Amino acid sequence: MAQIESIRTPDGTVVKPGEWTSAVPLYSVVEIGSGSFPLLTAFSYGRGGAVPGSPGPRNSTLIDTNLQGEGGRLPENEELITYSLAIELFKVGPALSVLQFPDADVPGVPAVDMLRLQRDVVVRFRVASVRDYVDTPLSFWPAGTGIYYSISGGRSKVSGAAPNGEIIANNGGPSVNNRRQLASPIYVGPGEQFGVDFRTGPGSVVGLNLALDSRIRTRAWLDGLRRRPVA
Amino acid sequence: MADSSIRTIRIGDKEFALDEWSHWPLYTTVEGAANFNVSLRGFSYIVGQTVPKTGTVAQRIALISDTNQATRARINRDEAYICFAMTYETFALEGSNNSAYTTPPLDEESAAPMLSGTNLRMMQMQLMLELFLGANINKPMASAPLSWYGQSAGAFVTGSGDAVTIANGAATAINMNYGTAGELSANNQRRWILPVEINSDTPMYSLLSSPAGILNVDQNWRMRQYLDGLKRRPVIA
Repeated sequence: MAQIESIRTPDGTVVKPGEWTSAVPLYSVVEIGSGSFPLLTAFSYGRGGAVPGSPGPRNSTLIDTNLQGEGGRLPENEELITYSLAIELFKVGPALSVLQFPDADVPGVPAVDMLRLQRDVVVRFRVASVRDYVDTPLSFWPAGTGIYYSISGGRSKVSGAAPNGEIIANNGGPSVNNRRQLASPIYVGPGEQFGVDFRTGPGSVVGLNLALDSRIRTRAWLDGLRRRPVA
Repeated sequence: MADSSIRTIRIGDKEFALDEWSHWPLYTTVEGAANFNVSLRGFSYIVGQTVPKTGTVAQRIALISDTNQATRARINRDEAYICFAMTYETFALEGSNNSAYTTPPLDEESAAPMLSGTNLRMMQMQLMLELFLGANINKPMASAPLSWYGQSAGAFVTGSGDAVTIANGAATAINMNYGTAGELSANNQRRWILPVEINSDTPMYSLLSSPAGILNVDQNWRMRQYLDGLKRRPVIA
């Protein structure tokens, strides 16, 4: 086998690529409701911990986060070099009202609600509790995931027999290439505190059309290189 | 992991230590009334001050979703900025015009906060977006009609069928009109071949204007403008 197992950098440091992967992005979910909230922090919990903002709250599973440990910091035996921050949105549960705009089939987000979220939510990525690395509206960090829908006709499941139809939206284009790359990668060291905070300017997402227990499931992605222990 | 990455770069006759710089988009918001002249300065305020607006749009105090400027109308004394792109996104203002839905939007109109594609296209035709640096300097560092700037942030929208229905009294069909300035991709912003350096304490502002007079749009609107680039901030020794 001619695989490269170690690289010596010009300063003499030896790096073992086998410990690093670019195929296991870190992700974490928070859930945004129609009421006011001061702060929801992704990566503030590990697997099994309560999902911030969720009804209940509910305990997380692997689909909510792959962060190990108690949350709020990277495990001592891991490192992260983030090249991309991305925010993906799903709607879970029905709209409060369809008097003003048609609801969308779950997990689609109605276009007006997507714009309200993009308008009001600000995303902050902080490392080591002393420095913010981005602090920018949600819309600036496209999901780079989603669906190119083709929908024929004006009917949806949620509208039943009535031809109400739906108008759904994605946070940016749904292609991988639509994701924004950081001009300067962000490094998170072993055991270092970090988090992605979701805050709103007005204190809530104004006009968000969700029933009491409905939520916008918000998945934050940290894409890049990750060092994990190998056997 | 120790790395062998680039630690300094040279732009012109200056060398920059990259350790002090990080990707930090700056943003600012301005608002305008339907069918009104536009001359609005962005980056001219901080959170807690008033958002620039035209016409009958209500005056309001800036929130964190409006701007992340640290100092009004200039780069802070212990910071500097290298700008390599400008982009923007638009919203229609809710609580005005057709957004209250007491009367459903007419055909080819749009429900706030969706701004119709027709209105956005009118903005592209009639508005100038410029960036100015320095005190009493009239030469812009960026200047072009709005259509030149791609939109790299916003909502990618799909509709089902020709019309959708709301239950406003009787079932009412509404036809939506929505658009974005190009493909919604992070790459849909022109990257300047020659980045613009904004030194510490340098006065700066963006100017959105309608040189020919009234901007012919039928919704009250909000535009959030972004400077995309690297910001130098003090680091802990």
